[in-house]
Amino acid sequence: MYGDKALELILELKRAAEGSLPPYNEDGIRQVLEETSVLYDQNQADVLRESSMTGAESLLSAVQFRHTCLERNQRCLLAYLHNRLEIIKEMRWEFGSVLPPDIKNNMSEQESQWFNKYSKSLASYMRSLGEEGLDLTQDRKPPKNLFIQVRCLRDFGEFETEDGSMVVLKKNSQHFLLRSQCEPLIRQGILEHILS
Amino acid sequence: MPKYPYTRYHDETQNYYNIDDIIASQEKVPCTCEVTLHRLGFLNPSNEGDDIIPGTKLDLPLWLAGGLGLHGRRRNIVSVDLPKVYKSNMREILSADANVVDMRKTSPHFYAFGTKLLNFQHEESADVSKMLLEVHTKDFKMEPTAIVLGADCSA
Amino acid sequence: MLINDIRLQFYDKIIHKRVLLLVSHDVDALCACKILQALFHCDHIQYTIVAVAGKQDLERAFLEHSEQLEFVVMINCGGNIDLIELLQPEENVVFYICDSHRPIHLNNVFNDSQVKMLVNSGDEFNLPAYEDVIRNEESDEDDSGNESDEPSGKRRRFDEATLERKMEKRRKRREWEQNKERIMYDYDEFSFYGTAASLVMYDLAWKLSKDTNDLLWWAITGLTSQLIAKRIDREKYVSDVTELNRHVSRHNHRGNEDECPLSVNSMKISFVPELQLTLYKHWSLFESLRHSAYTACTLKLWTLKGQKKLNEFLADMGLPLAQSKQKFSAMDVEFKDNVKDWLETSAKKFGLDNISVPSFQVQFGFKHKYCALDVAFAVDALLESVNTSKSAEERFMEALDCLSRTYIDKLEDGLDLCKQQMMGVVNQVQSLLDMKKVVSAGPFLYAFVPDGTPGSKFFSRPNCLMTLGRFTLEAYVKLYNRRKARNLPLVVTAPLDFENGTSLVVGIPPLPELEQASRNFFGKAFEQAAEKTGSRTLHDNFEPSVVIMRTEDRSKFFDALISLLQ
Repeated sequence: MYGDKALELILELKRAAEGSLPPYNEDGIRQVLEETSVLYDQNQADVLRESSMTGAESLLSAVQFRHTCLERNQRCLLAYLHNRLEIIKEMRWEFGSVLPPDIKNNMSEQESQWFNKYSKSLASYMRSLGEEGLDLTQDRKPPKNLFIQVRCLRDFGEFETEDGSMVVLKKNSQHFLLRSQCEPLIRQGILEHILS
Repeated sequence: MPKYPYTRYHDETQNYYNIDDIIASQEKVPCTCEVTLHRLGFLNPSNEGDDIIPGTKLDLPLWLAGGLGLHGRRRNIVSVDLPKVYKSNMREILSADANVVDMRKTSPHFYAFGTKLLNFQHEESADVSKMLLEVHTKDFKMEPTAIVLGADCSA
Repeated sequence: MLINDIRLQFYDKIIHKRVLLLVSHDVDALCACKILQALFHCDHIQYTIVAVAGKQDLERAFLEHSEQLEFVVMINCGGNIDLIELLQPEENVVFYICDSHRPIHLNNVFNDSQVKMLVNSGDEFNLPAYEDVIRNEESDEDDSGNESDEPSGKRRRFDEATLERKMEKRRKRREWEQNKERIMYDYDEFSFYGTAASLVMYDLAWKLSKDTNDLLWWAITGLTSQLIAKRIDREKYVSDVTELNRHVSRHNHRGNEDECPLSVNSMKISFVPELQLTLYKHWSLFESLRHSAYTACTLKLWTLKGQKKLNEFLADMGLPLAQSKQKFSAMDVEFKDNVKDWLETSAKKFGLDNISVPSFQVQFGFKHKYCALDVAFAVDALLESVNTSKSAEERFMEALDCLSRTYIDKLEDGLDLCKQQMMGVVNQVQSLLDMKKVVSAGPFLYAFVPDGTPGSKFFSRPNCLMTLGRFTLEAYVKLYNRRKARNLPLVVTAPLDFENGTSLVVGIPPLPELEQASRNFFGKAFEQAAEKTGSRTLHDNFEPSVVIMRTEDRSKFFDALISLLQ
């Protein structure tokens, strides 16, 4: 049936885990394009024949049929590409300007180019904000709390907070500190975030 | 999702790139052919000739039925019938107690698909739309754990 | 200085400041800490929590963390020691102490600038008068100052008068000293416990209008832990429960249950009379009856006769033996629903009049249902876990975690640990009784937990050893029913660290006193006995009746103790 191959592309995106990018299906796209051009050629032929015939409206119905299929293929292809770009865009915000190689391998050449351009535009926009630029990729969701509970997993020693006071981070002590200050230490595995 | 699609498109303008919408529109609807479709006989496996002759029953995907059945200029190429889940006997079951029907099995895109069907201006369209609203209201009121209809959130 | 208006004199002072929280290793302290944390979270008060197991820990934690800090809050620690003397703090440091240990050290009471004691306004302290215990130094100085100022020639002339005046002064001073000693002795003689720290903190939360069901549950758990550790008597417990029940009904009144069904993440607390049976809802009824001090001691389960009596008891209830040995949760519904009533009825016939206490239970959503007694047991078990891979602080943190709803599976771990502990305790009691290892030393009974027995590792933890002590004493007294033994206290020792040759010693007051507020005179007695004999002991625990001792010094220590208590 016409349109099945195109739908397969869409299903591929649907099946991929949320936020992950499946490999660019070049082969699938080629097949859909072939099917589309076959449909187009047949339509061209039928329209030509139609103009030479008289009183036969019935050929046009078949043209209409194929045209619908053609449009369907077009929609699926565009949706496929568009949704992939959306995912890629989201990745720029999540991973920054350098993507992990396994994601990069799943992108087509054009998608790579697009990513680089998008990345550049975003970077220059962020630089233009305020006096020294503003990193929009930080704090994308409003934090529920300014402060979080953390537990010290190993001895770290003195830690100067933004307001200039000292906190001694010793193993097995628990603290209530500004989230923004803790985040790097949590990533380093010195602190552990405790839920209440 | 972008609001301004690239191509002309009748309804669903909001959903042109929407994956779920594309998948929902793949559901089959029963259609009857109104005119001869030349050299498309291969679509119907039980058909022997080259053409599809008027009166042939075909199960077409919704997007195709939409393209042929809503063909505004002249008369429709196919006429679209209601799928089983939206027919009157099913409507009665659903209006009695919607919670006992496992919609995931019978029709995974019950609402989205149903809403699209309304475009065909079928004679029962009014009833279908009323039922969709009713079932959805009941569905919505239920505890989230017990929902069987909840599979389809695209409505 | 004692503080009654905790909100004004404590909370308003520390708001927007950084605070060091020193928390001792007990369930009540943990609960109070949780409540205070919740308040601090509301008001964005930054804090650091450090667990302190004893006085040495306290000193170390203070030294390490006090830099740039002005406010130190102590929970269930520090109240009964002279803090200024021990910690030598800078002058701007203020200690806020919420400690249920009594008596409060007088230097803490009379220090107005640096030590603030957060206490429940309803508590009585029987404090001595200030001038009776603290001598006004100024008058002495005046005296000596005058003396040196006076020219020596004149001095002789007034000699007689001065001498007389001096004699008079000296006599008065001696009188005062004697009086002070007597007063101090009376004040210090017994150690006991006041209102739970968690209740004091909950009261603060309530006054700040920040109390929620979670906070209330922690207060309940804290109070219940005081009951199971026999830190307060039943009367005090019941009055505190009544007080809490007012809050419970305020927070948990709902309209018709059918109209507003529980939602998945809701929390509901209800007041129920609860059986004093250890973990029976998470164990089998049979095991629970065997491992609860009250039933085991009253039914004398140590003997064959006692065991038959237990079967009789179950028969009287009409509960088939197979059902009673079944996991409680798997018992037939008919039995499960009625077992509480049946048990209470039968208990009266078997002399178990006090089997139930007023208590609370909590339900988280649909799934988890716990009663306060079990939770208090479980948290304590986590604190005192004998898993060697975990340090004391890690056990503390785990116990702290298990109180929050997010980490409810840790509570389940605690329940299992508690069962193991109770089995260890009961086995030990049985073997002490069987081997006749509970010996009278005249003024007190003593028992040594021998090294290397399978359960002995449990008793290197103070609370568990105290549980063993109370259990053993009750079992011994009820089993032999000698009038003399009834009023004897018990000293129990258990090996603490075999390689270093140290033992843990606890003193359990006699049963009648145990029933009443657990007044314990062993703190002072241990101190004096150690002093007299030069025994190498470490009085590190905040509970003075718990001492660490060199095992080789044991006999001379006990000799001194006997002569002291005679």
